Amino acid sequence: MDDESLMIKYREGDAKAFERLYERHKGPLFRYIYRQTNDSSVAEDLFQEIWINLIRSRERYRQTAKFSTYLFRIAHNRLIDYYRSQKNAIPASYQDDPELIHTDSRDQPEHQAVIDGQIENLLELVQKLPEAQREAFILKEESGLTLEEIAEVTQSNRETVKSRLRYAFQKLRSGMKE
Amino acid sequence: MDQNDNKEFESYLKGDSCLSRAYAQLEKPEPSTQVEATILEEARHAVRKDQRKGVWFFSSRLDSPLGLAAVIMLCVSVVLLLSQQQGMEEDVIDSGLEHLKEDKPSRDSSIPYAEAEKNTLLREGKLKTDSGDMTETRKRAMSPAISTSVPERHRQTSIIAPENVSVQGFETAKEISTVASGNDAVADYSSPDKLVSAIREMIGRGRLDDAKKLYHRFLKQFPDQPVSEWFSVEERALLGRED
Repeated sequence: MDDESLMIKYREGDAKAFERLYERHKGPLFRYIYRQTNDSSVAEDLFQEIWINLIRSRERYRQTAKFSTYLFRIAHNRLIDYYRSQKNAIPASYQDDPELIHTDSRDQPEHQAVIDGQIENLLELVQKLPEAQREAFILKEESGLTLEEIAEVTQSNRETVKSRLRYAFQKLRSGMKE
Repeated sequence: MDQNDNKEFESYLKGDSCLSRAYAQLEKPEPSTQVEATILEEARHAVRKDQRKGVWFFSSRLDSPLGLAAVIMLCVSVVLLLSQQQGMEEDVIDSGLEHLKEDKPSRDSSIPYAEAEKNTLLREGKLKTDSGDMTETRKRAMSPAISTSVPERHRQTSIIAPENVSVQGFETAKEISTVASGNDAVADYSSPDKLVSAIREMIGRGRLDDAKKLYHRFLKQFPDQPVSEWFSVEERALLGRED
């Protein structure tokens, strides 16, 4: 049974359907949040809030998009709120200007760090990506969303997502080669 | 980004990349069991809450409207039942009144009753005939007089008991008649005033022949009664002045 059908069944009162949905998405969602916050405690709090938000808004769920898109969009919004609460501003990397993203990412201290091109260092390289690029990368790797779906989750357009992914790809690949 | 980089990037977008394979080999952190338990319990609690809400919806929210609807249905049923019963009673009364008004009893029910009454009289010896058996004509003549109701065709006829028929237990002969409004009561002419009343009623109804017959009866039955005291000049003129 697909995610959307499970969510509808849960909305109609089938708790088992929710358990199956949770099992499918708990890992990707948790890692998405964890990679973005780099704090397991914060990640767990946000993770719990996101699922409870989904539970409480089950009556409003409509099968107009993929369930994973719906879920990760809730997560993205919660993350943005988290960023706001931490820094009183959305990270600059979420600006839709690719040039700004590029410039901003180059200015990041982590970008200057030279990481050996080893797989073990990949995680550290990912953590050093700007938030928006990292988010696009994690969404693609963890949830398997397409460019269009990532754009929907992050409420941006396809080209912006592609640009973010391109920069993330370049940085990670070059970091692994070095 | 050179052309080679672009190709690698397009491959990456399609999911064919050493970067993706390397990422898949990374450690995969999971939420704690405590968080999982909290989330799943919240999900189950929400379902239970919905179910209670559903029960409440039917037991509380719809309770009053359904109850009201049931009471209305009951009231309507009772009113319809009562009005139906009342209608039936009115029909019975109307038919009864119609029956009385038309004075149209069932012929099938009256004649057997008359026959039974006649047979009873015959068995008791109160009714005798010269020949032993009544003729069919006499039976027919007798039936409506004895019965409590009269068929239409026998109404408005005056039937006088034949000479050869007498009723025991009576001092004077009784005329069995259906005269005067079709009432089937046995006419009692045992006194002059009753006979005079019957005669006047006949006159009043324009049945002069019947009145004359009764008048002759009066003269024979009560010869010592002075006619002038019982009848006016006009009445005697109508009846034939046989005094």
